[in-house]
Amino acid sequence: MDCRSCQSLLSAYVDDQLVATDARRLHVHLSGCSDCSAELNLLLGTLQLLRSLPRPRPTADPWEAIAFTLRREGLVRPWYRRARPLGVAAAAAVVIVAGSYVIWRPTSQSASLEAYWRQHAIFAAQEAPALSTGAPSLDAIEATYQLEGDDR
Amino acid sequence: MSPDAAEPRRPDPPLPPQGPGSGDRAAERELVRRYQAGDQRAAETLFRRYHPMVHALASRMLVGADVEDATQEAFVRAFRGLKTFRGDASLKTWIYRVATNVCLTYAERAKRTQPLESLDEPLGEEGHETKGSQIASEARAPEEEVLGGELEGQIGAALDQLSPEFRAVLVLRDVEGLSYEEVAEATGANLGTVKSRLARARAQVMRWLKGYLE
Repeated sequence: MDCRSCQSLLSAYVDDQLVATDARRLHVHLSGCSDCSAELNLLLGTLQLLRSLPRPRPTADPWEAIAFTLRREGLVRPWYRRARPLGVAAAAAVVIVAGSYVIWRPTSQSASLEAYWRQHAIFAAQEAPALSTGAPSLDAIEATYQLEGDDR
Repeated sequence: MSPDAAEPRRPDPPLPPQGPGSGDRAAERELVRRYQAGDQRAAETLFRRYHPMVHALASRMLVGADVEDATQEAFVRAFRGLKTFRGDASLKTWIYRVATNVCLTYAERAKRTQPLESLDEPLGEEGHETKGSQIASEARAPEEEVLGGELEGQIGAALDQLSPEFRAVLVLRDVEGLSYEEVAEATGANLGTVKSRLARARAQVMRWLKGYLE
């Protein structure tokens, strides 16, 4: 192998792209040729430099402009435009259920029941004088209410 | 001359290319499927993943405002094509191919419309700073100061004197670290053409940088 052939193969050689026989012949030539060895070292140094180049950082973010073009061409849609009718119906049902819960929440129901039992206790206390003597005392009303409340 | 002589030093293997690894392939296919169904957020995720890669290629291939314009155009074209992408090829290589085509178009247009400004032409009276080193220093963050500004400017100037086709092959292989097969796919050239262009491009860059390497 002469120097010209050797140097034309160096690029493929450093990337392991030569067939075995060519690689062996090149290796033999390089072992005895200082010019071609120097050329090989020059190539290796060049590749080292190229591979150590820092990757340039983007200075601008073109996403909004790209997204605008994609939307204009109908290639993408924002999520709220992609929502299906079934999804919208499900979301509406959730809102109705949650709203009902807020209006008829347990604290209101407890207050209604409490009023009912209090009224019931007063009627019971008013019927008591027919069976006994004297007007019902406030303690009796409260006690009856308490009993009724416990029975709930 | 002995056949048993120590084998000459070989360079370190190139860094693995940026982009998703094989573990991310399934997630990436899902992103593509969601994008094809019109999901804008999936499109943005894909953009964020590949923007640094496409921008880096454009920065090495082009100069000035063309870098941002080409990056944006490459993504718009890629998203148009992605609607019918079936996943036969690697998405990364496919995006490289779209981006390379856009960069080559811009480079050819720049060559036709205006004479290229030499990157090693001295700026101002001092004559020490060159256009190439100025671009390099603008693009470089302080913590990334791996190479001196002057040397990086010379590398930029060396790349600039290559024809766009040669520059594309060299940047994809030696700067971005793609395999020969990926470079062939990204440039649409056959493997033999890639090897030949790469050898000639490397030889030209080597001559340019010889003074810095000896």
